[in-house]
Amino acid sequence: MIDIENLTKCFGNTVAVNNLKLNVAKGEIYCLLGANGAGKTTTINSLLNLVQLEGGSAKIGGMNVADEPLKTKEKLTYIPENLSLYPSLSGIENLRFFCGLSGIKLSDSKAVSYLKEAGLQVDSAHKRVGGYSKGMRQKVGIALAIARSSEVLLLDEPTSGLDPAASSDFATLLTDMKERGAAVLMATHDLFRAKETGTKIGIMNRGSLVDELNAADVTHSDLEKIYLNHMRA
Amino acid sequence: MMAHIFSFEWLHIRKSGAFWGTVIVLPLLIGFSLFLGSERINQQEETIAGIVAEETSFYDGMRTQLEAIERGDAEVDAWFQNPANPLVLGQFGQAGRHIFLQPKPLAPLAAGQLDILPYYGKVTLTTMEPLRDNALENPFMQVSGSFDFAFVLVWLVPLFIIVMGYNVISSERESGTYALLQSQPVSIRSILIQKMIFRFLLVFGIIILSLLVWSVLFGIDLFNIQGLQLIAAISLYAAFWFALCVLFNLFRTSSAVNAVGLTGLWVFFLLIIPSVISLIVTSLHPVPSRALWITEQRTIQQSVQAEGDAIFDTWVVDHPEEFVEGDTPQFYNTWIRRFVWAQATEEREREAERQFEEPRESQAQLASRLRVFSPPMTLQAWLEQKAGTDTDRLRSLENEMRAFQQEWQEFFLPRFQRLEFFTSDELADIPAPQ
Repeated sequence: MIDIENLTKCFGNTVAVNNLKLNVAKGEIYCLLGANGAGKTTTINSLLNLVQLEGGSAKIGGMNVADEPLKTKEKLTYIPENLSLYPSLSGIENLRFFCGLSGIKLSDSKAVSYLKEAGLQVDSAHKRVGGYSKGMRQKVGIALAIARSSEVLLLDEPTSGLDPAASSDFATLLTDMKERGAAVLMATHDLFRAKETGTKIGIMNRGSLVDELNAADVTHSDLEKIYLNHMRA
Repeated sequence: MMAHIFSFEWLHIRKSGAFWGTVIVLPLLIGFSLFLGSERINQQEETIAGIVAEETSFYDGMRTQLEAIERGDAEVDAWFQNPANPLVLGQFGQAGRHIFLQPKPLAPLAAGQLDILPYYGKVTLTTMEPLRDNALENPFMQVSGSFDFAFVLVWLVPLFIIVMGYNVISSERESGTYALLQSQPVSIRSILIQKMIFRFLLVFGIIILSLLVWSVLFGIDLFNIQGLQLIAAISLYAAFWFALCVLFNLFRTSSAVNAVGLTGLWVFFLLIIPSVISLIVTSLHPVPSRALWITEQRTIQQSVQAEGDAIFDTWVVDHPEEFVEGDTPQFYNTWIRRFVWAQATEEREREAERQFEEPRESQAQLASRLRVFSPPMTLQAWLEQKAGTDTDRLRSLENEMRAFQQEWQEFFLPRFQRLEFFTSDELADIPAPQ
């Protein structure tokens, strides 16, 4: 579903992503690990067509994002590290607005049901988003993915700053999305969550994908060792 | 998609202070300006009606008095009390006619140059006196000043538009929602344009609705072609300022930079360009000072006075048929000279006036051409023209007065020159302005 071939992106003389090759299939959660500046966010931005590539290609559902930016965006939901919504509007209103941009008209009751499905309590759904915690806002993002039946979920460090319970809830939601057949690409620093939630783990260092593992094949401690070895290399 | 973004913008914007500020303050400002405008015009119309009534009363009184004299019911002792005397009817005291520039239907919208140039004046055989409402006759003029709809539209509306449009996209960047918008299957530029169109329609709607409601309340007729032209002009002007907001939002600048930049443009278009234009026209076409003109007038008057007898003798030689020789009354001998001197003075003044008028005309023409660089100046000039309060129209009063004075003189002077007095029936033929 997500196909990145020989992707290269430079910022001036700095190579942010170097000849990256990465594939995420339907029903797969691909966790991209790496230090700050490793190229994780640039990889996600290239899938959103927010950066111009020096080489290679990024495809979603077989379509090149550079050629079909709006069509590829119809298939995906993006949740940044700090999902910002319109604070003066309620969760329902925010959800209805962003769904509307994809041409999906939601009734209030339908919006509530999606938010509930994403784990947001009904009374919170009616409240202004300005009073939401980060975890609650992430749930609105997941509700958006559910409502739009997104085939691709791009997550940029979605669990950073979440408390363990909220992080666990979020992981459960991701697993639900995986079971719905979504292809999930998640950039994260959270080794534990990557091992627990992911199906595949990629480790990036200085713009290159230096290792790729099946989550089921490694233990938590193995993953940590492998990760640290790559970072110290 | 547009309907969706419009409905969301409506939901969003009605929770903002800027919107409620605009909804409450802008209609009040428009209403207040139209109230002042309609009061100003009411005062003008009252002034005109009052003067016309006084004039009618004066000439009716003259006619009644003359009829009484003709019947032998009354007598006059002195020539200046005789209502049959052309001088009494055309020159002295209340005699003479007032020329008015009647207010146009859109006059309440723009005071224009009314606080500088008069809209009426009095014509007698020798004088053309522009008059103005003074504070005693019309204290309202002192209170209202130039606060009119044109001021609200040209100066204040852009500020409301800036408040409504300066941060449409920059605030999305600052609050973080821009990232989510970028991931949507709609171009961000399209979202920006649609948001701006909605806000434009909102501000435009508030202005037009307020204008129409207040106009109906204050009796200003806008339901005609001029009203449509006004609405079109307002839409273009509002679109100009919204376009500037769009431009700033397209740059990746902060809301603060946008606000300062747009306010700077407001200052540029409304203050700096007019000052620069003024500087250019006064530098290229300098007009001699007013003091110089007054000195020139005095010189002419003194020269006519000095050459008085010679001027009169020449006139008598040239116009023997317009002068009764022999034993004529003293007032005739005095006033026939005064008329000749007044005519000579006017001819010389008109010659001298050209050196002041020509640069002023050139200034006006150049300023008119340069105004295109400032949409606010262009709109202001257009509004004043539609309201009939522009410099050109108010200056046309002088021409109208001059034209009527000629008609007035042609009616009275031959009678006076031949020493022919009027009958009461002939008083009905005394000229009156259209």
